[in-house]
Amino acid sequence: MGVQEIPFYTPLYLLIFVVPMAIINYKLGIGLNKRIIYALFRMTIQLVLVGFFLQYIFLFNNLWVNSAYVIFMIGAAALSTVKTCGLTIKNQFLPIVIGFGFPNLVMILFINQFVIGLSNIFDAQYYIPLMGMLLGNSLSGNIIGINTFYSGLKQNEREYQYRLALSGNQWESTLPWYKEAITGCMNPIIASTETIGLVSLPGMMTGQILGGSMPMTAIFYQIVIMGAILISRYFGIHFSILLTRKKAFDDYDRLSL
Amino acid sequence: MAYLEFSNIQLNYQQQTIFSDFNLKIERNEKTLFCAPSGRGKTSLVKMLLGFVVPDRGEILVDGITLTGETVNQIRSKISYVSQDTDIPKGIVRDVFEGVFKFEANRHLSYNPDILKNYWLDVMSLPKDTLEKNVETLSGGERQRLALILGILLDREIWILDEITTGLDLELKTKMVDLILGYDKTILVVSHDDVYQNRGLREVIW
Repeated sequence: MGVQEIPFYTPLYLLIFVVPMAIINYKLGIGLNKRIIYALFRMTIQLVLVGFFLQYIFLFNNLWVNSAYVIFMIGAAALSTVKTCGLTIKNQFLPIVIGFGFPNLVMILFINQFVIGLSNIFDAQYYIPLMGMLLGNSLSGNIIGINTFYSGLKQNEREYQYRLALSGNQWESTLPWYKEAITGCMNPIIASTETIGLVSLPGMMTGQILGGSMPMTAIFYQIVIMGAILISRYFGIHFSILLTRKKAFDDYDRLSL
Repeated sequence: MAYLEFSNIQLNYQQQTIFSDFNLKIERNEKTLFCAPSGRGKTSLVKMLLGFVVPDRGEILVDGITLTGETVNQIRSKISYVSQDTDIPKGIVRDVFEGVFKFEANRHLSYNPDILKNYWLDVMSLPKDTLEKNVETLSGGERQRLALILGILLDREIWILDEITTGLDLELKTKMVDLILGYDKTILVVSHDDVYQNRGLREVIW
């Protein structure tokens, strides 16, 4: 039992509802119209392109092609982190690529090998979409964590310097903001892990059920992915801060971002 | 060689020259008062000693060691720094003190919370229950005095006291200054306060 195919033109039917939205926005002077249209348009183009691309990748289903795609995803996520957090690409791109590429890669291969028990752990059908979920979550966690750490240090420069003056080394002196960063990164995922399924069915489960899986199968996958997300997000933020901080301070332990 | 030396210091800040060919020598256990007018970089000068401000040119020597990125930690561990706007780490006072003595560089110091409670709080006219309070609920003056206690307990050779009497009443000021000047340390005071006048401090103005 597969999912009902959607013809290429029927998604356009949804535009019927966008028209009243645009009218309301216009009448009330809510300046969202441009952004809404742009977002919907961009989303469609982006997904169609990814769809074409993935079709080919699934066709090849080759270890190297799949991994190249995964590495591309890691790079894109790292770039987005660097930009959102106001870091420099030259100094901080590579640390972040490694910082959250590594734990997520370990996690996905671990799941495929030991939890799902695939014969080919690089199988595109599992490797790519699951990695996408892990990375997407790690990305938002990394942005919160890295921002909390560095902006905490910037805003509390006097307190940080005082800790240095009290002879704390760089690690000891930055520890309060490091802890804050880990907590800030983990809080949202802990909250959503706690309440998942009560409010809405998560996207992956919905997809699997639509695709014809039995609910219990979908549930087990969801449990695995939630656990994996929580774990790789945790290690991802540790690694990312530890690796980026090497080039974030000068010889005098002053923040030099 | 003097105990502390600033040689040929050049410091620019936001396109303004704060120091140009500045030289200063301070002997061991000398007590110095920096009372230059506002805006002359008194705080920058003491922050240079701690490596928080790095001069564009010139050399700083502390006890024979040239201040560089490699020696900065060694030099910081010779200095107690208390400033007007000292930001004491957040948390319960008792934990904050314990935390500071758990820093690797401070572990050799013996720290006794009972002496803190039964002696130092009295000396500084702080209420007995201060240790159980959260730093954030204390007044500026109370935090300042706690920072001074912390500075004394760390038992460093050099004390930098940047405007620490601001906001205290005369009685308390006099008490603090009497206490500080009674110690045999190399003391650098940044202040405009009259309370330091005629106390035998070497006045440095530029």
